[in-house]
Amino acid sequence: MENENRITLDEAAGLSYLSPDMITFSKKGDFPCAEMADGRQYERVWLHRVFPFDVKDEFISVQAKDNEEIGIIRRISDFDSETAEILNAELERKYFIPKIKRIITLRERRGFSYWKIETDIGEMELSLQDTYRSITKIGEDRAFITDISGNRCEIESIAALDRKSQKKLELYL
Amino acid sequence: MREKVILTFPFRLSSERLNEQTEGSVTLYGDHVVVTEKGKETKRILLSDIKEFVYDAGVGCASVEALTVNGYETLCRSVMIDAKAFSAAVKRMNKYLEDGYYEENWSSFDAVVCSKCHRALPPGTQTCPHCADKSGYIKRLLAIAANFKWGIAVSVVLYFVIAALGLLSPYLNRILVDDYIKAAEKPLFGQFIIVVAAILGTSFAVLLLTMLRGCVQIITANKLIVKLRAMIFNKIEELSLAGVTRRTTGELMARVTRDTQQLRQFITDDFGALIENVVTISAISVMLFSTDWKLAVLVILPAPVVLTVHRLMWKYLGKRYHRQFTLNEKADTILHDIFSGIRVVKAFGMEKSEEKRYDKATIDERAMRTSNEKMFAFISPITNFFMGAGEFFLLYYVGTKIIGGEMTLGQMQQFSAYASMIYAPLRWLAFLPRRLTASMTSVVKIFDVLDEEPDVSDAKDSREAELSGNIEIRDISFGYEDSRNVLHHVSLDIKQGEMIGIVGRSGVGKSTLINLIMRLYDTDEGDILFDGVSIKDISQESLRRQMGVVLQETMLFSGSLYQNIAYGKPGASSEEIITAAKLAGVHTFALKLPDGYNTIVGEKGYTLSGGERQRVAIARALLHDPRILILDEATSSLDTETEKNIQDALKKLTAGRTTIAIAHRLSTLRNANRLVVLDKGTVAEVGSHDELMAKKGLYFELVMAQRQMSKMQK
Repeated sequence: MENENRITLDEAAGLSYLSPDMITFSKKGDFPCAEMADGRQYERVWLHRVFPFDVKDEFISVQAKDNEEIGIIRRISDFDSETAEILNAELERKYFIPKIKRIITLRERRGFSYWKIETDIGEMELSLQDTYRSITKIGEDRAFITDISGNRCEIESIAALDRKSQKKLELYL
Repeated sequence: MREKVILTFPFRLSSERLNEQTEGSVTLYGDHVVVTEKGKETKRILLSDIKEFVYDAGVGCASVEALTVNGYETLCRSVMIDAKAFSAAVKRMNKYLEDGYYEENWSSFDAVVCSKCHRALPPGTQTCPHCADKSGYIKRLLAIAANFKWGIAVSVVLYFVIAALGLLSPYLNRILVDDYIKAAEKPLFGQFIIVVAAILGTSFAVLLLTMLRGCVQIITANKLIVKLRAMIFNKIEELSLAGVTRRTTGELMARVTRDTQQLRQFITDDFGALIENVVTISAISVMLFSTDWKLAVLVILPAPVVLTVHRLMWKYLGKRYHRQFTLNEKADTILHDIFSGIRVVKAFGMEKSEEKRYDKATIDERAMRTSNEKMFAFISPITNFFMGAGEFFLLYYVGTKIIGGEMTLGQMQQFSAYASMIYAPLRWLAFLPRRLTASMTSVVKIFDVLDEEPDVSDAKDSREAELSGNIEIRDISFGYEDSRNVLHHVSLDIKQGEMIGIVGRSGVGKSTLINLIMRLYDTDEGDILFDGVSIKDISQESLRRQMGVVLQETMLFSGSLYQNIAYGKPGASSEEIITAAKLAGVHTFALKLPDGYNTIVGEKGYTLSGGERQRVAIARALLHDPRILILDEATSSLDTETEKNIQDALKKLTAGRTTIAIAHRLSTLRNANRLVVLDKGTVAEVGSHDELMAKKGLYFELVMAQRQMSKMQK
């Protein structure tokens, strides 16, 4: 009973989870905009995955200009399909992370490694400095690669790659 | 004018169909902007409809957008290789939109990909590691080595002589065996002694010359490495702060230490060894072939096979050893983490779990190490056996010749001695490409630093200037490497002897402004004048000598308190040091320490508290007796009482000196003549405390917010 007066950590942090009855998303120009149930209006909102490596459509931070957080969407699937479509489209636009299907060539030159890869959106090239550190392994089977310019690629399953690609990759994991 | 191209830039991701790779470009004309994709126009917007261009950084991609009455519209999107050009283009397009200003070369951007192979260049460099031209580097390397030509020449000659002497001893052995030991008639004893003495003499000469070579090599090598390190170190120091911060500390350390070491090894050791080995191989080949060409073929023939096997083995093992190395590094990192964070580990009671984490890392490494060593123990005897297999055939062939009387025992001995001598140099040569690659990597990296043009450099006619303390900031704008300007059109006049307080929220550009006044960076637009002279015409050295700077992060070097205070003025007298220390409040706490001013501080020494460190930094700045004093949150980690004491001391001192101070705690600035309130990179308000309070603007809000805070604390 004495707990009743105590506020939760969430309240103390000023964290708010956005439920469909609190916020309505629609599209303005090419981007989502939002209206809150309390009347606040946002010309444009930015979305940011809180745990980009772990979940793609849960824990989405909704931000106004200058990174001011409006709240967090716990699950996109909590919203109606039309809204979900707007949100997912915006996330797709912001996060460009092709999935690697095959490593065509991997060459080391003077401490850098040059990758030619086949991804779900076609062939791409990556240039890695300090190859070992540019690959972030998630669990045992997934990995994210970040190159010098900031391009990102994902390997959804290392085990699912063909044998040749695995051998090329092996050294750096 | 309307059809005039102001600038154009390419992009690679379709904005029509999301995430599809394409080729397109955005072109800004006099009064509209056009987007084309695969040759077709996909968008056209009139500039009169655009409020602003926006650079939007995604993750793994970047876009350029236009803010119109209908909201934000995407102009183009691309992979990260275009991100820098995008942000520069947005900056330029907004400038054109704002005041119609443009430059003819606006369509060219800083190169981020190699012009030859189109691969990404490492940030901050212009040399492509993929296609750096080797021959050019070797020429320049030789030019550096030419400074030490005598040392190198002597050691090369010595390599040559030692190789030749090494070849002499099997020859003498043959004479000994054939002409004396197995001689048909009894030889003269005196001649026998001479041959033995000659053998002894050769070995002794080899010994002496090797020692001499070692000495010459070490002397040359050390001179060379000092020269190389000095070259790189000077260059790094010459670079602007921007040039240095582009690279990590670890990277710079590696350039100065590891890469120079690698290069030295190449010039002094590998180069000599290369000559020695080539000489040995050719001389032995000549001798073998002139003795018996069939035998020689028998010796040489297995060489390619053996070398290939050897290389394959190392290629395979090399990968495994590399893996072992990274696992070892991982375990070390964990250990380093645990030790440096031991307070946190203990406070959260995580000892057991950290122990597990470290155990797992060491077990992984042990497994790899064991497997590697087993593999090596298994493979190397086998390869050694096969590498030596040639000698068994040789033995058989030569044996039949001796039995048949075609060859003497001495000849056989000489022959097999030469045959066994040829393999070591061949093996060395087989690994030459790998050594060369390693050295070339270092060469490229070193020249990459040496070739970098410092972006803040002294003008040719820059001069020493005696500063009086008048500073005029004239319409400056500046941004770091992204599209956003940190400062926009900032102007400010500071009179000699004034104390200026700069206030504003975090990230409004306060420290940036100070960086520009110290000329750690050059302004993008506008100018800063000291007594009417442009900052670019004053030599950096004379400028900074007359400024005393106390920064937010106080860096103490390892050394005594005394040395740390004397840092900016190495020849300072003890009296001067004490005066500065007294002013800054160091004196009091220094005398509480048993070793007084000689107390060793820094990483390995006595740990000073945050406040004590700051006081040392203040003393350091005061020691030069600077005309301009810059305080960037200089007293923020002192308690209000101590701060007041220091301020009172400073107040006496600052008379006649220009002081620029940044502080979050507004009470720190109560002595300021004028306060400058920065907001979003522009000067929002200027005036004295009272004037600004009366105005009830931004400053008023800041003061109120802080009063609220201090009330709450009470």
